Amino acid sequence: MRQTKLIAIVCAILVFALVASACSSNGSNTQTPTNAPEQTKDNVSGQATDAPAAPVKIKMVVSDHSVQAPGADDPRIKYLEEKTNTDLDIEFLAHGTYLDQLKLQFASGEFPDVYQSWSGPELDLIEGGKILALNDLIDQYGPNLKANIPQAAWDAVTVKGEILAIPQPALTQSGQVMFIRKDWLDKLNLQVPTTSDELLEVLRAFRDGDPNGNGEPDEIPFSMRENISWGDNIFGMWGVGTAWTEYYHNDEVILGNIHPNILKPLEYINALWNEKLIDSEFLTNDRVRWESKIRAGFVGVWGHAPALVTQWNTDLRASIADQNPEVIVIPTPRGTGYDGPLGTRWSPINKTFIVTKDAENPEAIIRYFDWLMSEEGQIFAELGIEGDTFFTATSDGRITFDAKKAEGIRWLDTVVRVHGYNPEMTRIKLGDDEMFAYLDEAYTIANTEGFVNEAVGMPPIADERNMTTMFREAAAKVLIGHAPLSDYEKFMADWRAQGGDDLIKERTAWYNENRK
Amino acid sequence: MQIRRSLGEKIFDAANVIILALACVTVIIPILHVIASSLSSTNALIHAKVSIWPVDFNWSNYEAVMKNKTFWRSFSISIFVVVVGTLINMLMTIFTAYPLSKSYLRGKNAILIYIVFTMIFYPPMIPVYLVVKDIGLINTVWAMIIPVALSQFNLLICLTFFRSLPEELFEAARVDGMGEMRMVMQIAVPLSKPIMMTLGLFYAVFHWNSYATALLYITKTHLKPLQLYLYNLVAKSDMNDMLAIAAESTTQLNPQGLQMATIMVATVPIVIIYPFIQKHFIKGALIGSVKE
Amino acid sequence: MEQIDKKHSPGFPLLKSVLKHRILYAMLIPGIVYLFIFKYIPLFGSVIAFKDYNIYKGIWASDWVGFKYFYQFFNYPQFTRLLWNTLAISFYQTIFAFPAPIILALLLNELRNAAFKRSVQTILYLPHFLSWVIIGGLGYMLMSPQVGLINQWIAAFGFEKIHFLQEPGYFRSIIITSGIWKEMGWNAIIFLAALAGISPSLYEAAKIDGAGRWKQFLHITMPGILPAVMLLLLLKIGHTLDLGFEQIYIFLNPITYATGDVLDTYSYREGIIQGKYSMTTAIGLFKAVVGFLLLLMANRASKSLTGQGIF
Repeated sequence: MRQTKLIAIVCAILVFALVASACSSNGSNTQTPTNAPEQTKDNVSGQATDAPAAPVKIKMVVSDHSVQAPGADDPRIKYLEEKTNTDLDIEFLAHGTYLDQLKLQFASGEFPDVYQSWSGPELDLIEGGKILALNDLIDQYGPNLKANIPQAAWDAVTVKGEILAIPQPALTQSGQVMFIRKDWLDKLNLQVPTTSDELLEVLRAFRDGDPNGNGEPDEIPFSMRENISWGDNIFGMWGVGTAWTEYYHNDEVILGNIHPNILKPLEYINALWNEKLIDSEFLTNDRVRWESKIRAGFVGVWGHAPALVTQWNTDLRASIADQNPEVIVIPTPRGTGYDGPLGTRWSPINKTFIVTKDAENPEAIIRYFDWLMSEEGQIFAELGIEGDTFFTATSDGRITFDAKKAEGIRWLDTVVRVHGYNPEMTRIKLGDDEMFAYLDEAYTIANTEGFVNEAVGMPPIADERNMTTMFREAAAKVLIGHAPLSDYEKFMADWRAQGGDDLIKERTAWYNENRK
Repeated sequence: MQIRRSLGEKIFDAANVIILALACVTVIIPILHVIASSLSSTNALIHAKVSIWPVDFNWSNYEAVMKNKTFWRSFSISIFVVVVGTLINMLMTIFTAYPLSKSYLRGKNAILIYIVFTMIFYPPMIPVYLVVKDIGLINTVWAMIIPVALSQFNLLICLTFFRSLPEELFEAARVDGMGEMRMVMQIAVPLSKPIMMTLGLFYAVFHWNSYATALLYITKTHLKPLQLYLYNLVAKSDMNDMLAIAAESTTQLNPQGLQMATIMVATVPIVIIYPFIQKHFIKGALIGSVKE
Repeated sequence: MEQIDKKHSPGFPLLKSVLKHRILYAMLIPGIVYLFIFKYIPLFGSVIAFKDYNIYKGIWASDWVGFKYFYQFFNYPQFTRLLWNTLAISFYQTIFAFPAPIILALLLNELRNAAFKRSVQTILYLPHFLSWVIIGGLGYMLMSPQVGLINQWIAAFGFEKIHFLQEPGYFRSIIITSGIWKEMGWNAIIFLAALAGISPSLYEAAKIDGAGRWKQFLHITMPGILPAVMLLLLLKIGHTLDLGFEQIYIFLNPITYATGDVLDTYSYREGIIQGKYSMTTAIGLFKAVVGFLLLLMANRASKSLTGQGIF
């Protein structure tokens, strides 16, 4: 009968499905992936060879930082395990959903020995007694860590005197600097601007002098991105940070967005708008568009991370070779009428590694990180294994680095590495002294300018009383002339009135208790 | 017999064709741009030189997407999920809609409210995750099938159409001794062929396009479906600034071109299959008829 | 054959009815169980809207705070604006975007050339597969004051360029238009299926009775498509406060908050990005309650006006 036949077919398909899925699941229901097939690039385990004591098992959860994670049998992992006498089980989670996935694992009670983050552990976890304090362990087993991690970095992950994470020091103190087309300056016979007025003159020259030489007035003297981002150095000319930056001012802990100094940069950018010196689309520029405009050679000044100066030069030489572009980093000019610190807020840490109380052998964990911080470990994390991705010439000891091959092991540098800036390693990796000069200059500037952000080391703000939304709206209106500057002052008062004052009281209270 | 159209009708028909043709143009041109972008070089994209034809024609974006072993693995996972998932979906939908389409079923309105309530009040992410985890579906291929076994929306569509089937047919069959199960498969389904095809299409496309479930429940690479693979790929090339800084580099492939290529790869299979389904939407594709 | 109205007949207890139709009830079990496990059980988790949700304490042990997060959300000075924007866009969607696929299906239905009809249909559904990120990019290529096509034409005619994306006045139109462009073809599929399901014998009988195309349309086509239309309209009403988040987010910027910031974008900016689950859940609950009430009212209205309703 047709009916039975149909049912039979459906059942057959379901049976097939069950069988097929059983095969495709491949032991993914087990917790320890000892026999993971080569496709499983995100779970790693290995054995150490003849070590005196048995290698210590460490379970670690990290973000893959959007680079290819290593395979199960990667020789670098094996090398790492040998050197640290460990048996590593590293789970690489997709970067885009890393924090969510982490939360979900924690919510269901799964805690690894170590997990990676970008700040100290969350308040919830600390209060829940899940985090291990590391002070003694670091004293005993972490000499390299103590030597190579600056105090500011330790402070950023210390709560009530307890060190709650191993922080990777940031490459530079401040994270954003001003980039400029040096070839445009040269072409128009201009000097590097050192004050906000001089910058204004330079921008005007960029607008009128046709530095890209195509006869069209299509230059964009200055550009930034949506949500009023990546223009921090303009605000920085008056020492103001607009994103999660807090100051101790007039006996209060306030966010930069309501610091009185912010009125000057707002006025300045509005002046840029009126004179058509700023990208007319800066409020709608997403990253791709902004980048394209710069790479197509339209933009004269922009803000970005100091580490990227080499990449900008490389990119522009590829896209507008005929114009002989040159990109350099310049110190933040000084805003008129201001004499405090210039630049952007200090952010001393990059990523962090947090040890949970579930860890059975925390000494081994600290020793693992300590090795990575040793000279041998730093070489390994940046260059890989000798003979594989770097080679030492026997004649003069000069080290050459195989950048192409190293493309496949970016995870080593991005995820495993725990040290900050190592100039020697960077020089070797770049293999190009000209580029290294740009980088070193950029880092020097980033490390000499900038200012303290009180928020670093404070517990994160639980309820910002709508600051993000209200600031963006109020500022945007002023910047493009839809509202007068006085409206911004009104916003500052309004924000306080609708709950901002409460936030200020909270933060000031914590500050007075813990920091004064 | 020749059907004579009045002048009004002729004008209407001509206008209809023109309007629809114009609508098509508004779609074709942007789509051509998307295809062209996926086949153009990064440099061309940066300088905004691409309109509807590729500039510096090259396959690099597609290579980046497809030359990976992982791509084919994800592809086969998606095929599996689409086939098995859609089958389960259709069974669940048909057998839940049928009883609810009977006006004499007591309590059906209560059940309908029970269903519609969940369409409007949807649970937050973490509790759903915990349920799926407790059942043990995390990191299994079934995590992409069972938690989405039934779409209330499709259920209601099916229900609405079953309702319009004349009850006399079923009465007659019942008198002939046919059981309810057989009536579903041999009367209700065949008579609703266009809707069955539509719902099958909706479910299949849903599974093919979905990455949200996989995003939450799948962390093992060898189980990731195609869309998640593509999503990660674009995210990789679109590494946000913080990561780029950590890696001390930006990207080589312009994420724009890569994005377009991933869309093409995801869409082409559907476009190929669709015409086969389409022929069931022709007026009068109804088989069997209701004898008055 | 008479239909005994079991609901109102005396002496027919529920149990007897269930037994009589046990197979029908049995068919319902998988669906009911599925919804219970994957929708209702997690729905209890919505209680985090009333708690200070601490992931490590878990849902039940977290502190109860009552309506605190609702107040927080209502206290946003522009809360009324959020609500108003959401309702306005939803309203425009119902008036413009909702009928578009219906009209499209009806027009396609009237086409005489089958090949043309198939081609048009296939072409028009393609934008459904584009992500909003890409459509945002396409929109930029049209509307940008620097490189946008539309502005180039405007300038060619000697007028001043318009910064479409930065004018609150254009925002809603952009949202509605792009929404129609993207989904019109795909949403028409349901209606086309409905139209295909109308028995051709009805048309033949009408022709024999001398009815012209217009009369056929009015008396056969329209009623044939009505159940589908009412179902979708009711569901749209139930989701009144649920706009397409991604679409609005792509086109939104601080200048257009005035007309475009809606509940979902606010929730994302102030809630999700900052990990504040309790508030986002509170907003979700708020939307659901409003939507559900509207749905119940609309269902009743629909039943009395058109005889169609979900329940």
